[in-house]
Amino acid sequence: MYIHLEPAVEPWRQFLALVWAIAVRELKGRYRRSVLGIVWAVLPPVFYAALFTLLQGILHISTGDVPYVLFAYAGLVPWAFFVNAVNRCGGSVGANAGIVKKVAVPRVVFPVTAVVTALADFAVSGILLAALLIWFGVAPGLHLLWLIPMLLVTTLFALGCGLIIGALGTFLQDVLFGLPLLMQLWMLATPIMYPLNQVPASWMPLYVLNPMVGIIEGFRQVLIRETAPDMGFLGLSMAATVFVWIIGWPLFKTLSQHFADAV
Amino acid sequence: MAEPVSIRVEGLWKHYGLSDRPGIGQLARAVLARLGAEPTERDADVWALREVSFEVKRGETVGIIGRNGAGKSTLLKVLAGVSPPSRGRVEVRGRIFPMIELNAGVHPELTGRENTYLLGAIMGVPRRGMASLLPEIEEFVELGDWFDRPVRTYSSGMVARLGFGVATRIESDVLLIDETFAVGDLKFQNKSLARLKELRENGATVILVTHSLDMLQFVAQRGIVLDEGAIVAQGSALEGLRAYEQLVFGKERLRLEQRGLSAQDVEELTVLGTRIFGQNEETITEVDAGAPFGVEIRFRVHRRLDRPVFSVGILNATGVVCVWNVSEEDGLQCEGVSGPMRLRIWYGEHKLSKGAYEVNFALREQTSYETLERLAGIASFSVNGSGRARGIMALPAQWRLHLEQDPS
Repeated sequence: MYIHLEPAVEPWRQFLALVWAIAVRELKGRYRRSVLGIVWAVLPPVFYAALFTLLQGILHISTGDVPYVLFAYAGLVPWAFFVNAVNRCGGSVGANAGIVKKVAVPRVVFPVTAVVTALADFAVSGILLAALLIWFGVAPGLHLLWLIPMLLVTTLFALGCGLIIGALGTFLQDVLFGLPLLMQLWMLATPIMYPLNQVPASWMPLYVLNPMVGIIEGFRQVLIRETAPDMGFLGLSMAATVFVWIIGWPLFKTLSQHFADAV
Repeated sequence: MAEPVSIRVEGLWKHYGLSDRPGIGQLARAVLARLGAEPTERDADVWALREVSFEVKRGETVGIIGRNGAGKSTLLKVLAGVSPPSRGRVEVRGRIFPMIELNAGVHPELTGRENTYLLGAIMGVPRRGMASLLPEIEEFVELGDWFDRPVRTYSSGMVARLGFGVATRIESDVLLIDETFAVGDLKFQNKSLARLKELRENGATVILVTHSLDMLQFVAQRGIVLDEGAIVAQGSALEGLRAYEQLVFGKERLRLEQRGLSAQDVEELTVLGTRIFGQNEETITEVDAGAPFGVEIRFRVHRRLDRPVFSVGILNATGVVCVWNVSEEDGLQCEGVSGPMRLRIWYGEHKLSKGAYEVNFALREQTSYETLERLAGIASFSVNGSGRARGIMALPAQWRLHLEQDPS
């Protein structure tokens, strides 16, 4: 049993200050020696959008009256945020081994910081997305307020997954090696490249169990269709979020005590 | 009232690996174990710390000494709260500053100044607090213009100075210091020592892990000796030192005795036997301080040697070559030898200090200048004597103190 009396720091303030300091370090340090700098944050979804648009010319995926580029990019931006957040959570403990091994900071700082830096990249991508929306004449309005709860659910879901990946990945590198493959597969099982109505009806009962369906569809509905997200799908996403936290939080709490011995 | 207790450790046991407590951790362990990915060696018998108990009062400086792998670093990690105890109870009061290597969290692309804020945040000092400490830190680390350059361009000494500068400027109640304490040049070391004393006088508790016995004697008030994870002695710094020396000598003597003088067969020669001998030709394993002794090597060379030259070196326990003799330089001439032979080197006196030694042997052919064989550790012995082992030589000396007239 380890008891720390009078630690002389307020845990919550320290937590926030530390998340801020490490996030700033990551963002400043990451792009300091690159020519493109922060552009790298926008590039992956742009790249995929271009690729999908090219493929769409061959596969003839119909997205109704919505321009395909807009359709794909509006799905890719939240997806890229999710993937980024989970990936960075996975490596966050190992990347901060210097701190983990020496200072007793709350371990959850590392995945939280990972998600915060992913949010920063997301914000940059969001600017381009907004420009695209304006270009295609989508009107802004009060419905955009739906983005706040949407983003909250996405962030919490990503962090929940990140806690599991971060906790297991610290001990078992295989988890981190397998993660990119899993994410590729997951992207194909999510309506990003194609619209939801193209999914065969017989697949639907299984397909909707993917929590990212509600999230990606929700973002599209709010951004392009200018309506509220589908509460049925979003409800499933929220249930999944609660589920990953029920598993992820105690798992991370328990395993994180031993991070110092593992990194 | 007595000084309040700053650190209390009761019956601490520690092994690496996940805790035994039931719950999701046990489940995770079972899964990880099945996958063959248990964190580190989780052999129930591998205890890094066993039944460690001690108390440190506020303002005390305690040195922890022990050989490599004795559990010193593990103990610091447990005290810092980064590694959980497996059994027992550990209580630490106040803000802890762990200086276990000083570069925790430093980002190579950021400047010294930016990293200072980062280190502050890691230690729980808000940005505003760090801003007021910054001038002091900048002055202390003596980095000059380098303070605003990326840390990746620093030398390792500069990084360490940065870390130490930040560490000692932040007010903390408990300082945990690992051996990396002695960083930088002598001037910076002295400055660091002075700062450490200042912190102590302000009531900080210091736990110092060190290999340097001099440092321990100079800085610590109490010593704790760890061996194989258990406390084998604790008391005043001097008592700690004595116990440590006993321990090290005991282990090394044991090692020497266990090591048989077996034959060694290499390309150019076969060593038939070696021994250390005293004045009456008797074989010995211990040499008295200053007493004469010799090294005898029996070997067979595999070919005829035109003009062989032999070298014998004596190395101390840290690998320093204390003595190196070359047969030709000492006047031994031999030509055209072959077959088995017995080589002896006799030291009429010696100034080796107390400790354990090893003998190295080399064979050279003078006509072709080629070294035919080098053999390390063909024999070993220890030097006995009174007092502590300090330095590599023991020189008897006379001291005098003259008082002079003050000219003013």
